[in-house]
Amino acid sequence: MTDVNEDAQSGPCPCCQDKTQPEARPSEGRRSLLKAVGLGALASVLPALSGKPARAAAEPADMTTQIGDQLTRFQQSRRGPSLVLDDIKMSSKQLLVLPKDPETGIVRENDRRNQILLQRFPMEELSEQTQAISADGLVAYTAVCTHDGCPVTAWDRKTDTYMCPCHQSQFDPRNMGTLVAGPAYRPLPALPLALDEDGVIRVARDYTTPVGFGTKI
Amino acid sequence: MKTPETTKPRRAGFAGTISVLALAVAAQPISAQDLTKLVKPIENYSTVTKERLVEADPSDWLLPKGNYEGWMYSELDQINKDNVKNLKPVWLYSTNLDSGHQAPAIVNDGVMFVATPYNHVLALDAATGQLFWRYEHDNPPDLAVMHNTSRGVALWGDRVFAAGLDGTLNALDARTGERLCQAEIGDWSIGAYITSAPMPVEGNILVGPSGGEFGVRGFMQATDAETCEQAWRTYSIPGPGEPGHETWLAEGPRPDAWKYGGGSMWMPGNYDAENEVVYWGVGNGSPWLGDQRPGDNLYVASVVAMDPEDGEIVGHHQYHWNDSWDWAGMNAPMLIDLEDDGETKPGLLTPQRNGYMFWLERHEDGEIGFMDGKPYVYNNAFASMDPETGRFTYDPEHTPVTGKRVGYCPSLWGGKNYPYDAYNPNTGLLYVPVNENLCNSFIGIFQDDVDPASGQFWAGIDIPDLEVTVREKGKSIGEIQAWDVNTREMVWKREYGNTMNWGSVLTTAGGLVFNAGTNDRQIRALDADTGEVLWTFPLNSTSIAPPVSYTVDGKQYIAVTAGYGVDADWTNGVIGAQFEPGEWNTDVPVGGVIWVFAVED
Repeated sequence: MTDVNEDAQSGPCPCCQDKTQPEARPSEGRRSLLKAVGLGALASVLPALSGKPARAAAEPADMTTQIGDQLTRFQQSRRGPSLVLDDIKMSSKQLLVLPKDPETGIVRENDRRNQILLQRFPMEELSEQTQAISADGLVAYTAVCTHDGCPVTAWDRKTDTYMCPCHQSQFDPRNMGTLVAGPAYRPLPALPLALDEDGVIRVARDYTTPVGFGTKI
Repeated sequence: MKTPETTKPRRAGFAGTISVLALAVAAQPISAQDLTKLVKPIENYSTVTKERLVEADPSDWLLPKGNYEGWMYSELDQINKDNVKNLKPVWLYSTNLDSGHQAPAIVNDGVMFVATPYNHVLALDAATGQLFWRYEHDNPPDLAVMHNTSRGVALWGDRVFAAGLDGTLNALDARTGERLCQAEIGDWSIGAYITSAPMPVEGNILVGPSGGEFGVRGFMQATDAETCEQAWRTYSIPGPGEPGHETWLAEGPRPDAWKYGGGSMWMPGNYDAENEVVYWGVGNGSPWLGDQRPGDNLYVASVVAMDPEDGEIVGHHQYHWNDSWDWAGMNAPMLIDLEDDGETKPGLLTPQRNGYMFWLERHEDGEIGFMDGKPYVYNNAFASMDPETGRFTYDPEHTPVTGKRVGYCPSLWGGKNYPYDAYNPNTGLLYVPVNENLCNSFIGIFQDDVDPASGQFWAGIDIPDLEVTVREKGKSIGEIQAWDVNTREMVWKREYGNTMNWGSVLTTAGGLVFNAGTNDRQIRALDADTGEVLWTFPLNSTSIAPPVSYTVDGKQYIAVTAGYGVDADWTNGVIGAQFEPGEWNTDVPVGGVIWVFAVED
């Protein structure tokens, strides 16, 4: 399995062609990840992480999504508690969530690229590629529509796809966020997940493709 | 607000939102020079004054609609009914950007300024298309907006003013594109982003944010053109103690609905410079369902008259009370003399999104009187209209409510949307870009799992439940109508068939009407008297931007920017899916190109 985070740790990520557009991908050294998640839980999905030098400190709330992060609901009144597998009802509409720092419990709420769609399906309904980034049928995608950046918060019951409320681009959560219809330019980037020993949902690896919208990312 | 421009961050805490890695490689202060690619400074730039804006010399196109009255009219007649067949492109310029290009070219003494999606501003030689400079606005990397577009720049003094999707207003040196100062107007992270063209009025720059689908309380802000400091801000929804607040009843599950009730002022207004009154359109209610915000809901779906000195609202007319259809009143009525009861009166004329055309009277003090209202497309929601006041009664079968599917016509995009109508004083006709024969339905929901003004879609519907329908297949949708402003009757119309019309109208003293906006990529010149098509030309993409006209060294040009995107693109796909292959063109490429046409000697 390719560890796409490897590049992100050593230099600008591919999404950062424009110097005014800093990276939108989770990134964290192996040490803190393993401390947070536990070696046993993630060793198999993170073979290539190798403890790069630590970076300068930043406020947790301001940081982009980090590997090992827990997830919590976006809605202000319910923001805070870490989500576990059983919080996510099977085959229900996607939940809008934010990452939170496992060390401090601080929600990373200041960068809109941190908005994440979380959903759960029977594993057998997922494509093979999607299964590889899923944790017990849980899938996660960026909420940032690849068209104009709107949060993709609607669920089309007729086609079982995400629908962006702004211009109705549709994406298939069972198949790597494939663009099914609408004016968007590319699939919705997927965020690989894992479960830790306590059943808490964690970010396992970097987004599969860069988060952003338009053709200029 | 900062002046002069030295650093990038604006939103509180934003400097830290970029990742640690990005801080290491990219967090150097961004100087204004870094934002602007300067090819060649503009020499002998002509300063823009109030006098020039009021005069609206036809050699220029200094305002989004050409003049303060909002006419979309050019007095130029070199290009006319006789020679328009010889109209040919003389230069093109690719903006190098996708998404919807909705800005008119603003032309000042041979220099053209074009605003684009992603908030670039191009300064070009209007005769040759050679670039002077390109400003690339530093929108934040986590920006999210519903409409990635810009509807133009404002000119005042020796500066160009460009609003940002990030809610900023930016003053640029017209000669070099260097950013001189910046004002924070809206907070895009709650949904208050800006697409509107700013308007220069008496030394201030007026612009307001969008956000009617996000629970944003709309407002207009005047910013000092010299200092970028706020001169005044007026909310379109009156707060406690202000006149009109009583039209927001503190009833039901959301007694504080006024706080996030919409009413965005997202299109440029018009100005009565003689009486010093600005007229601005106010958008839809938020959420869309009126039963979630009981009361008439002033000034949603209204025109408001404001004192440019302090922003005080001195008059208004609400087109329809308790908006429940997303029929925003965003386009300000044009200022025009109208005949009424045998008298000629200073008037306001506007075809509104709700499918009705309104004849209004403007008084010197800003009070607005009602003259008449007539439907120009099929509307099944309005049951009757009080002839004295213009107040409608509604058909509950076609008035959206919470918890039930309700359908209505015209569709939420309206009988017309943001594109400009045009008035030609020689013909006495108003030319309206129309969408007829289109309806929709949706189920109203009470979104208690989403916080208003949290940057999330908050229109009170689940968007997959939105069904857009063609009322009668085989009948035209997009069309252009010509109305006699005084007899209040339609004189002619031109139907475009299986396409919507997202094109603004330009009319000229050459007896012509220019209109694009259809999914066949054509721009066309029509006979202003009859509607006969005299000339067509296929652009690279459909143009959804206003055509304009100007001269350089005495030669007349027609300029229009093509570049399909946002709602035009969306609706074309949605409606096209209901037709058989070949019946409706969904092959409309994106990509911005400025086209400039002339008749060669």
